[in-house]
Amino acid sequence: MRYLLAAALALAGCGGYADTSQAFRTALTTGRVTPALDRVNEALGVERAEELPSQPDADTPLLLLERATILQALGRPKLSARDFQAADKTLEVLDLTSDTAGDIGKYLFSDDATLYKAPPHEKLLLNTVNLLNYLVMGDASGAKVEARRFTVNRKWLQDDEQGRGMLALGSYLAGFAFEAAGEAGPALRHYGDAHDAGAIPGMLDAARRLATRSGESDQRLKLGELPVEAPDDSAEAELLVVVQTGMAPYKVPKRLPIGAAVVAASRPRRGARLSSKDRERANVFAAKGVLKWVNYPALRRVKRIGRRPIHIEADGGALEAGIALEVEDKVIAQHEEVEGTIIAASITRLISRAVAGQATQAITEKASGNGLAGLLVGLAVEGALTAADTPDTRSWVTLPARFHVARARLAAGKHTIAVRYRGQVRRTEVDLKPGGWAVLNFSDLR
Amino acid sequence: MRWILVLALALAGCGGPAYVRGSENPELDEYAMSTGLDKKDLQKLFAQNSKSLLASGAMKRWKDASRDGKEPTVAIFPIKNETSEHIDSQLQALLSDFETELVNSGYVTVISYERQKQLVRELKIQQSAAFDPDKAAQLGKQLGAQYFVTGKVYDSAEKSGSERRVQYFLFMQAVDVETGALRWQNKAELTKGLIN
Repeated sequence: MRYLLAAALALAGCGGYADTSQAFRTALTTGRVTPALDRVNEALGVERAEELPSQPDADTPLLLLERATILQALGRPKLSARDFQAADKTLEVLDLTSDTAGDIGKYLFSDDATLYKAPPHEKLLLNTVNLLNYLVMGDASGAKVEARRFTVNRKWLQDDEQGRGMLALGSYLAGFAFEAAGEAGPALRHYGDAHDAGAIPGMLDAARRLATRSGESDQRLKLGELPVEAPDDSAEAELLVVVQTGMAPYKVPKRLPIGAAVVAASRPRRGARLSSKDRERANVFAAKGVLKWVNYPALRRVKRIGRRPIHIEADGGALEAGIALEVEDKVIAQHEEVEGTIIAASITRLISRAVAGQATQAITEKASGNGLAGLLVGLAVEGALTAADTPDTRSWVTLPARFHVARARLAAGKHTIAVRYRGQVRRTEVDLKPGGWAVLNFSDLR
Repeated sequence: MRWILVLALALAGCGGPAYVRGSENPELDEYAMSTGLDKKDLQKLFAQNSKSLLASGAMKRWKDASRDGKEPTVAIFPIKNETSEHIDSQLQALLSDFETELVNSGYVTVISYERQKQLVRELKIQQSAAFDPDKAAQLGKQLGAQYFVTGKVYDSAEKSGSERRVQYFLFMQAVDVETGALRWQNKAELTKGLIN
């Protein structure tokens, strides 16, 4: 029992991933992307972004996701793709790893004692944003690999409501990758999947052009009657601009009075709820003053800036832009759905600890014959376990809040593309080859 | 990929990692470290295809032509990756093995993939034509080849609650540049998995 107490005390005061990520999250909210990269490198225990940690720990896969997102924002798609790939493979291994020790630790010490298992939307968006890296590098073959990985995950998670809302952009980019590789049939199938999952600005026009040119189609797109002859557009090229803005909400530890927690965990919503037996036990422990607070991971918006207009221009002329994926709202809605379940799990863990405290009290009383000593040791054990409780605040915190897209056919040659967002203008030159394509990414994670 | 193993070991609470040589640790090549293709997989895929090519009618024809002093010229085109794994560099290694096998047979003149890149630049043609069945023959002709060897690897990848399985199919063929006729083809397969 002494060891248990020591371990619990060693863990006490640990702020979890919310603390780990605070430095680079804060840097990003003020637009300081390079310092954010330095902070995440520090958290990974490396000096440069080129390095992978030699001594990885439980947070490493998540930190690689964060670094990959930051590298993408800095316009370093090759390194970003490497980090996304490493994170993807590791998360896959963790997904299939049984975690008995972690499950026990979760009950005794801390909610984040378990291995990190990424939620469905993170798995799907990992392949989505990495697909974007390959498109930006002009590597249609690599983009198709990510498109296939996305499809494997999409099929695996098809029954999961959390993942379903995040499918449209990945399917759309997968369609673009196959179109860029000259494979119209699979491209239109992916566009069909994107259409099923939600609207993507400009997609139907692009699909119509592709269907006319190739003679292929996908019934789900309902493209209507197509021109018999495709127009000669060999002197043009396809341009896709993706703009990622903001950061999705992140998890923070929140303390809730036990009474309010029991009420919140008992509301009749989706998912598991506090059983009547546990509710009764929680009330008994609360009445004895043993349980007072519940720690659980709540969701917090990075900034309440709302949706700001975004303008994408080619050579000074506006391109039609729109939101392809709204991550923030979806993540909040998903969390609200399961919040009661999370609180219920936290209460159940507290009850386990209270029972452990009572058992320790009984054993000490029996061994020492001293009721007061038993009470003190029991309270110490239970108190230490509660103090060590760190809610699981792990999540991909740099995941962008919104993805905007603009797609256009432009005359081959050099063009200046500008993105205006929140008082800043970012410009880049693109040289389009006749019949070719290019994908540009702009990330503004403020 | 070694890095993922290091993390797995770290999470499993084992001791720290150490660098080893395959010659000191013969079992090193036995373990699968990922669902990608490793040395052992490449050897297996190569052996299956090589055996098939050496026993094929195409090889017999090349041998006969070579004995008659008309050694045919064969271009090696890249193997197309149509899988859900980033295995392009491994496929490059497989291609090199194939190239070596053909060169060492002594019956054909091989235009290596590396040499092709230079020729492609000189001829100002698109290397991506090698992936396009309609353009590959034209590319072969421009490179001065009578035959080209090409292929693709595709997979059937699935995930369930407790495993990820990737079934690889390597499909290779030799094509007559002049007529477009297939002179040899073979499909080799293997399965990799991540299971709990």
